[in-house]
Amino acid sequence: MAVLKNRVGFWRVGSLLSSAAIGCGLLGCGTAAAPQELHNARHAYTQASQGAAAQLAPAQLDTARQAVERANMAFGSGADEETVRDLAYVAERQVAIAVSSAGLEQANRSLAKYEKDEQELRRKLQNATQTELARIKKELENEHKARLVAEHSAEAALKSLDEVARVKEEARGTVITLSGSVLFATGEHSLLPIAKDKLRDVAQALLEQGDTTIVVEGHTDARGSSSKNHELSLLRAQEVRGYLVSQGIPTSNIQAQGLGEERPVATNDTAEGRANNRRVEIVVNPRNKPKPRAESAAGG
Amino acid sequence: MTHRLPSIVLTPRVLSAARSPQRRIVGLSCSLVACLMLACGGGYPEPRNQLTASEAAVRAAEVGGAQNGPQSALHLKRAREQVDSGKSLIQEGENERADWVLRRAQSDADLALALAAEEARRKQAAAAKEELERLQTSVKEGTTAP
Repeated sequence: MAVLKNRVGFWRVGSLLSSAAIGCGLLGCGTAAAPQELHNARHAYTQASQGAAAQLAPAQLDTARQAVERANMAFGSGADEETVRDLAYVAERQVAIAVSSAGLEQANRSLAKYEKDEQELRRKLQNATQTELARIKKELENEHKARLVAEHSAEAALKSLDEVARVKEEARGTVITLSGSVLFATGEHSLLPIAKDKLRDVAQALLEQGDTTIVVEGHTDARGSSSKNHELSLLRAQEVRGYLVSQGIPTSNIQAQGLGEERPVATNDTAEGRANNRRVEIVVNPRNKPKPRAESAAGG
Repeated sequence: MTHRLPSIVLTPRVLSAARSPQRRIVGLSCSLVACLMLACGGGYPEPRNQLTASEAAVRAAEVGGAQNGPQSALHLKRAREQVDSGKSLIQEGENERADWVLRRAQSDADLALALAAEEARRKQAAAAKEELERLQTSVKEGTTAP
């Protein structure tokens, strides 16, 4: 047992080192700035390796790791930028495939459990006497009560987000607003360490909500050029989306949108107003589909 | 022991023949053709295998129902567009670029298929859950005969 624990510990340390190496681009880090696609692929891999894919889709995750390494090595060996972009593009999709495979495996397990439970119940019912039937009913009632308690705790989890985020009901769904300054450094789109703690709580609450559709919207203040703001807001939304996916939110249920400075919630003339405008909104169960004009991210 | 000289030894006669105007013209022509081939991308073979693989991946995604989910449909659309773009590049002789664009297409098609499979299984699981809950409710309400 101790040997097994050591092996698991060694594997996890190795895995973390590997993901750190890929994340930092140590496997081929040139002096020139890496293209955006390579950043995206590295980020996506780092997040995926810390999420469910590591347990549920290790083979696909390994294929993704190799693809990211190829892109890193091409970049490190001075290959032309277009080749690096192409390799990173493919690598990012390999990561998304690994995450989706983990989602598929999770769904397989759920399906198997529900089918087994149903068969078990039907088997019990087949030859049940009146006494046994009464006992089964009692069991089911107890399960129902337990489920109600779980649902209540899910609602409570969402309410508890008030401590880390603003939660409000709007026509477009439940909107969880996170301040940009809590999530990101100025001008950056990498999540701050403290942001991950907060987003972990958000992910937990969202998971407890069951099967929902989620849109992550990035918003900025009105300083700087509109195109830059739009790009930054999209990158930030993608980053949050990637992290939520790594925490088990199904890939197919969550989209990212960059809305730039389009939808301010306060004036852009004061520092306080601008701080309120720099935010990420997570819209749960949106009634309207995202606008087709807005860019959206799926693969990561 | 004596050694015979090889027949292609560069004797003065051979050298003079090599320098003849006809030879020079032939040599220059060969160089020109080689340069033209390189300029037209002739040095990179047509990515026929990659085109076949990408088209097969797109078909697999279509058969897998990728057009039915929003995210899988998006990646399927990108894959189709890139296959078309790859074909155009091949026609223009841009074989190397075509190869990369087709690789991108295949990765998008593979992702579309993975997303479609995940979505389909989630729906199956949701239906199984619903069926189980329906059965449990009918037992509790006494509408299911033992």
